Amino acid sequence: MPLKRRIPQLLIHLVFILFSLSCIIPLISVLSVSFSSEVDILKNGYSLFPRVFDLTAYAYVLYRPIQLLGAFKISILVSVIGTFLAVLAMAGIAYTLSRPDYKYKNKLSFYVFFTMLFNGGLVPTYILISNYLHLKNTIWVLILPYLAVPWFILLLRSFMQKIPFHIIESCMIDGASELRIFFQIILPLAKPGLATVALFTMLQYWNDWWLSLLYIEEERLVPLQYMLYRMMNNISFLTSSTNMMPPGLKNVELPSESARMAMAILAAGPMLAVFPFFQKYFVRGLTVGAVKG
Amino acid sequence: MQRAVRKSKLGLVCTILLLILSMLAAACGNSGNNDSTSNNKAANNGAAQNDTATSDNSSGNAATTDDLPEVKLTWYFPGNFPQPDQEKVFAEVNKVIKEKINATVDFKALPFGDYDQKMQVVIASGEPYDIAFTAGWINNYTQNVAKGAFLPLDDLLAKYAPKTYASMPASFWDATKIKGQIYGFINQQISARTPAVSVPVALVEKYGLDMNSISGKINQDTLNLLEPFIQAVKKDYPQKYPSIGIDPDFFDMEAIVGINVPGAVEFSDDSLTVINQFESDKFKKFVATMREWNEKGYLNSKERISRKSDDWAEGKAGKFALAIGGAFKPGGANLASTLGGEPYVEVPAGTAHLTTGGITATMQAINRNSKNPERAMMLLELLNTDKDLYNLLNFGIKDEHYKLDADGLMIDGDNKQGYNPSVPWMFASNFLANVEKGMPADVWEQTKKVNAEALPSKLLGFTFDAEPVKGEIAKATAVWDEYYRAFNLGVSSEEKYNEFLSKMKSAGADAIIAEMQKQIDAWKASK
Amino acid sequence: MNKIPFIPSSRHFKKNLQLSLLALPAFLIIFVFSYLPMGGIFIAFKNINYSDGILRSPWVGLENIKFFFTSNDAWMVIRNTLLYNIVFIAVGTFLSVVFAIMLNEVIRRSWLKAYQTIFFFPYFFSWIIVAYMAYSFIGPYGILTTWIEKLGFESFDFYSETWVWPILLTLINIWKGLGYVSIIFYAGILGISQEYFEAAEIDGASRLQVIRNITVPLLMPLITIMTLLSIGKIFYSDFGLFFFVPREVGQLFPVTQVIDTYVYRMLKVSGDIGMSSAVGLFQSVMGFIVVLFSNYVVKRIDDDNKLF
Repeated sequence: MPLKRRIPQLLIHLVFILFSLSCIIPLISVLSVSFSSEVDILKNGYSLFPRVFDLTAYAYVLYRPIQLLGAFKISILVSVIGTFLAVLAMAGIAYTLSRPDYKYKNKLSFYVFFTMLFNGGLVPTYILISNYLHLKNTIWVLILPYLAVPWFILLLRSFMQKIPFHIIESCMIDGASELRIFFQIILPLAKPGLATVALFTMLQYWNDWWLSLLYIEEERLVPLQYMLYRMMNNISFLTSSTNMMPPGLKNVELPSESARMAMAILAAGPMLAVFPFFQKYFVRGLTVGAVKG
Repeated sequence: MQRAVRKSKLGLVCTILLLILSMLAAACGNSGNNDSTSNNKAANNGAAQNDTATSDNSSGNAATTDDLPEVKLTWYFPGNFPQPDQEKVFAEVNKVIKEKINATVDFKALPFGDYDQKMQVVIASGEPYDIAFTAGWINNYTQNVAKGAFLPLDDLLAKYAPKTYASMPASFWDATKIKGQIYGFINQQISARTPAVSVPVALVEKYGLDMNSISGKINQDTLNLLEPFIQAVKKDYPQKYPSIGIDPDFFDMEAIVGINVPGAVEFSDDSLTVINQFESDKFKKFVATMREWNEKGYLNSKERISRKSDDWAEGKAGKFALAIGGAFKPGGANLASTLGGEPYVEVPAGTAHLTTGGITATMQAINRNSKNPERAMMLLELLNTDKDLYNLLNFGIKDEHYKLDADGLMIDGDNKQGYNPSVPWMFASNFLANVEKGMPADVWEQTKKVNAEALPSKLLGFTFDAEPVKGEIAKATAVWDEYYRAFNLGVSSEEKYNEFLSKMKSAGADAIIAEMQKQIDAWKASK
Repeated sequence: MNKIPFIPSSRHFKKNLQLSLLALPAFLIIFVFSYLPMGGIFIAFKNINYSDGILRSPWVGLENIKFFFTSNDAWMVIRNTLLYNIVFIAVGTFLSVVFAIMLNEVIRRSWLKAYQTIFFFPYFFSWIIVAYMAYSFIGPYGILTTWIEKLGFESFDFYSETWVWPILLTLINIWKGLGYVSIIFYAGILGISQEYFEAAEIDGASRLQVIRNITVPLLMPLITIMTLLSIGKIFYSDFGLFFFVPREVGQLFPVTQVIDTYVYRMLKVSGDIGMSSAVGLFQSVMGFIVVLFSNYVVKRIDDDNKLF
């Protein structure tokens, strides 16, 4: 390797390692607080590594975790069903849009992408969903609104546009129906794109608090993020869910600081675990090709 | 391609127009439905009337359900929710309600922190719920009435809730009247209000705080009476702080809309002059004292500023050196002890006054768009007359969530933490509640006596119609939201305070106060 | 347009029908959740009064939007929204492109993969979790707060100092999105035909020359598209960032309040749907105008890069 290229290499790694640290340290700090003893926190503040290792926060959060489990269940259900349906729906429309010979291609693109720039606003949407569609306090209200996100459709369309048209053409000549081409040829070929969009969609569902903030009043439908939000200001969302300390922890102060962080870890963890499954498709799937409609 | 886009744009505009039309049509269709429901209402009316007639005949027995068609009611209220066993308790409650008035209730039990915001959206969207909790301090009564969100209750009260109506002096109902009509159904409780000073017993004993010496003597000028105690506590427990709420009663004023909206009248002012409470010396003094306390390190402001309000959960976490807020009432220390997780004692901060705000501090309102207002009123009457039902909703299932001891006093059940919302005044008249062990046995008699004997505010009976200045009120509230926590925690500088005053001014404080004065003068003249 | 002339028109009809069918589910979802609410825009021109109902409430024309502009906060929230967005777009895009180019220079695949994975971490956290993380640094017991005190400086209260927030919010926003956007650009670079690079190498161009003369120019269409899309959202903000991270501390509103949070809070305190709809409409219309305008400008400069 010529010397000329080596110095920038060092510089690049230095910058990247610093940025990587900044990505990891916040996670570590939250993790560390969740494993610290409350008394120590109140006395010495947070630290990057627990000074006094302590599991009280988890014992507290996981004692009688009925509500926590319920929230997990809702989040998982919404993420899985939502992602599946969304990818299917978006792949469908993206494929149609990617076909240069589709008659209404331009009109349909405009129809989809116009919504990226213009919307009816919070209030009309709320009125529609709660009074006309009657979706309030149903699990569907957490799923349906994100089934067709223009940005993801755009990503998928760009990806599908790169599938050589002659493959489709030859299938057509063989007499395959469009539906068959879509399911048997396009979907397998578009796997990296689909995987990427699936990951993003899943993230969006998992991390969503907005829909539950507006449309969920029933405790059995509260997802994790919303629960976490309510705890931010008021730890009693945790305390009243348990109302008391686990036996054996009688004389310990309520671990309000560390318990909050323990909850954050429980909510963030699953998505980090999911990522490696999608990673190999990632860069290829993120191609934003020609956006032109 | 350019042309294609243009063409499709035209198409789009057409589509949108079509949509608007179809939505309008749908909405009109709906209002048509409304008409038919109002016919139903009339029919219900008749049926219900028959019912009251039969119930009168059978000397106060619950109405037979045969004539009433089954309905589902939706009731929004705040509290210390969620509770682990709430679904179970609500199901039990519904069994009784179903039997008595052939209705089931969808209980929308919301956490205090969510309630205001949820109700704004619910009301804004015109959702056909039936009952909602309302007051001056949460889900603001006057503002909602100004927007036309609630149904006038005068006729409904007379027809379907005669007992509750008769259980209170007429002056109470007058306090709810806006433009001559009642919009709020009062849950009776302590109405003569002054904040409570609540201190953990352990601290009182350890540091020898003489509660009697401060009883009734705490206001913005005398907060320093508490200073030696706070100083001593702070030395041993730096995490503990005094939590002091900003409350009009604390300043011996009656706030016309609420503490967050400019416009208040001093209890002592015979001329009923509306002042801007934020510009008063009292408020200024309070802000200054808090600032001083924070400089001395009493308030732990750094920790508290990132939370919107102090919560009893913080008390449970052992953070309260003392708390000033709420309303002093007989047996109140019991409630504080439950909420704070350790024994508390309470004394009144000042002298209790009977005010419009105090009477209307706990009310239910019926939605303007309710499909079954009659049944909603019947439900309220039922809860206010059926002690067992009320206590079930209030404390949970007997022998599970609570028990009665040999003297008939209430003690903790084995599964108390399963259901313990601690908001007896939320559901109906507090006077029907089981007396908890540790409270005086005649606690409700005492409370009634306090109400009856309290000094009535000179403004009692006046309610403000907020409609003409609702825009200004919204702006003023937004200003308050920005600053109050800083005042509360003493992190505001003199500049900030002045900035706050000038922002309140430009939000329309003067217009609000002028409108209040106008209405008060008219009210005075009419008396 | 018609690339397959030898297929009879009945086939075309069938093909279009089947393709339309594939698009139908998403079409309907978009129709219901994006277009139907647009029908409610008229609320912005009404003084909503519930005793009359939404439809029969009186028309007030532009009164609602006027109310917004006469409030103390209108200019403040518009200024905040625009300034934050301009900084986010400028700094964010610049850094992302730089990162993408640097990623392309990394030779070892294992390093590359590790970086890509780690850079994505922040994108995985919801704003609520980011708010918790920020709190763990700058909260009352936070790591940074504690350090400042330990180092002997005067204790610093992040949640009541307004001047740090523009910096903090910018850092956090860029931190969260950098991994994501830079990988989009990186994918763009990978899409550039290798022939260009090979040709440059044969010509003996230095890396910097290659970057300046090949990578950046060929990446330009993508950069333009991404920027135009961000500009289209310049009147909108990431609600989560401005709502959760400053933890709704009132004192910070002068620097943390943006149009979205303002509308939400107005709705929350006053329940005035006419006004909040009016502000929402203002946002949409302004955003639309800005996009049309910038698209026009881009078209004038370089027709190939335009969005539509």
